[in-house]
Amino acid sequence: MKRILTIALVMVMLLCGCSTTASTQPSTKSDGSSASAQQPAAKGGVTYASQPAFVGNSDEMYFFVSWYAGNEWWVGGYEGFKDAARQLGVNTKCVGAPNDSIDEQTAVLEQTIAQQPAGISLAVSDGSSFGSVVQSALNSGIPITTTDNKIEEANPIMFMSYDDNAMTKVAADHIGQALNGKGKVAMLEVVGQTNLEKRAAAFKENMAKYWPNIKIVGSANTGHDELKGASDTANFLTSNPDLDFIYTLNPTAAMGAVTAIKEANSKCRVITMDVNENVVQYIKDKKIDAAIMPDSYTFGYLSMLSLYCEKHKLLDPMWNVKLGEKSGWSVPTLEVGATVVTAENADNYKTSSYYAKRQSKGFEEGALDMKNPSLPGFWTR
Amino acid sequence: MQTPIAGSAPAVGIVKGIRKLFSYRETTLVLMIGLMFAVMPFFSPVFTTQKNIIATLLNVATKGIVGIGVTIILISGAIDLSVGAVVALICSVFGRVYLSSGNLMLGTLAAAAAALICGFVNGFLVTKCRLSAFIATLASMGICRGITFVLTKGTPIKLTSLPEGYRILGEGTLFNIPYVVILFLILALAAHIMMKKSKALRQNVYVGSNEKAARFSGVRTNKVVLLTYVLVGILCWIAAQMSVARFLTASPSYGVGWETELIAAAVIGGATLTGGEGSIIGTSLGLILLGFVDSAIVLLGVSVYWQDLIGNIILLAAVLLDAFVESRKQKESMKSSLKNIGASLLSNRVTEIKEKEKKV
Repeated sequence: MKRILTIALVMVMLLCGCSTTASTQPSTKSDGSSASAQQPAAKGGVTYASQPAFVGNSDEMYFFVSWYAGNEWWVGGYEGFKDAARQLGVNTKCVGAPNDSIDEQTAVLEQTIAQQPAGISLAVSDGSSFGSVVQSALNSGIPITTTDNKIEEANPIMFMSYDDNAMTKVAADHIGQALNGKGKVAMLEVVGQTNLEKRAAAFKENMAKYWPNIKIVGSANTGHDELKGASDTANFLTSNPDLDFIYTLNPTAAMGAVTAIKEANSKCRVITMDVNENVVQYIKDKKIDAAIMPDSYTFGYLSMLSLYCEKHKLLDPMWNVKLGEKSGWSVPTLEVGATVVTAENADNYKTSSYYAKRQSKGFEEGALDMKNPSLPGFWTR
Repeated sequence: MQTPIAGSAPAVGIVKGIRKLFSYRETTLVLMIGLMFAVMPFFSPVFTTQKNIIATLLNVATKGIVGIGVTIILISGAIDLSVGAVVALICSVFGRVYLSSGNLMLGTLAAAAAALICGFVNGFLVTKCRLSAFIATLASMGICRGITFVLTKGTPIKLTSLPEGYRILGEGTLFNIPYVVILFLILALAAHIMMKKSKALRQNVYVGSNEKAARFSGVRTNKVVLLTYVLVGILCWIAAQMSVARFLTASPSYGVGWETELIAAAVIGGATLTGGEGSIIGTSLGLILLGFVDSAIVLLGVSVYWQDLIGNIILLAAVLLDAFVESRKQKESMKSSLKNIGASLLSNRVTEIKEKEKKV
């Protein structure tokens, strides 16, 4: 009996040992990076990890940091970020400043860095103020990608950009074609937000270049303010009763413009950058002609991929300095595309429908909280 | 011997009338607005059109309704920095409750409850917890804005499904004047008169002028301040309902910066940050002046980079002009007081001498 028990015990121990060896769950370090991935086993002169390169660890936390956190225009970006993370088996968190205050954005970024995340996808309203913070985080081994506004004083692993020229060319062409090349336009701008200032400048250039007979009769610093959007539009309509178009740099101002146009009984039309649920409805109701919407999903997805690759040291480019040092390549830039939202396709851009289809809880959940099996590349451990 | 000048009595009357007119704080503001109306047509003929005036008043109206409360609070010696955030919160509470229940009345009641709670909490923190009004309302500003972000999830709540009967509040007009403007003007006028006539509202002046003296003379100062904060909440609720009816959205960024603009307007209109002084008509005129300045900046085609700078320089100029006029008034009243004192002292002395002479 004792012998049988001893044999049984040995078999159980052997089984336990086998199952431990066969487990795909690697041991983890405090920063969430995979120990097995970082300390590859040597076998016959070839080094490799105990798990595939594109399977991460559920403890790895990647942060999506933005300003105006939780705003609808980050929806696509964060969903893309979560999708890539979920497929890689790592987790995400969305944080950010509730406004465009540089101080608050810096505070949130520093707090995020203090948590030693596996990587950060960072969007800031003005890149010039974040150079030293971002570079010190990069130096400490936290990969960072940047979006919207370039941070010149730092070398993040990638800059996700929009082609302002191409996007505003679409808006300019829409106006130009609608007016047969002749008319008046006024702009509602956002001074102080670098990417939108660039976008405003690009729009003016495109109008002057391709539609010289359409006059931009005025610009107002409206900001993201509905009431100011209404008031500035009312003033433009007073000074130019024959105004044909209002071009707004953000959807909140566009909502104010629509109200003012209705109140003034004007036939002036609106075109805006970005969308929210209200703007989608206004487009469907033909109160707004169209919205130019950048492809934020792609920047979120590719941002996550590049963060993961950097964290796991998966790239082996040709260094132009001695082996082992960081390359001298400039920061790679990715320009995502844009689309035109019109009455015909507006339903596709409703956040609520998108969330419902994906069974997503948006910014409130991490990548690994998404349990919808119909999501692309869905898998479980 | 002086010969009487023909018609001197009416002339003196007119001068007195003008002096009396200038003794009102609001006169300077009316003159400033008048000056804009006199000068601006040379640069932009549309500035004085009815359309522009109505559009400017419309954009000032919702803020102006809240401005009434801000003025009363300043008069009572306190301050409220949370008004913009409270309006945004009320809008989002209304939006969320209305959309989830489909019941307009329920949404309105929930919004009213939110307004009363905000006002009461502000008042409670200031009066019962003895927190500085600045700090207490600064904190509640952050809290209200935070709750708004939670309720809206950072994006405007779409309220295009609101019934026509409700939308008329924001869209309707009477003789081409929007209801919102009419409501603002009526409320401002009524509150101004009540500040002069109503015993309850006059107590704010006593509390703001000298809280201790007011308390010793039987005024329940804490109750006065607390109820004033509740009143501000109610005015925020009215403004929020009007705003939702006009824009058909509840935007999380709505009302950002209102507090500074309203306090600036109240100060231009005669209020002081130390309490005891202020005029609701003055604040309303201050806001209207700022509205016309905004309008002028756009109509003149000022570059977007210069708009804030020019707007604020004009604001400073308005405050300086007002301060100059006020100091002149004070000097004159000081002079006339001294004259009166001097005259009465002199006449007393003359009487004394005469009496002495009689005795001798």
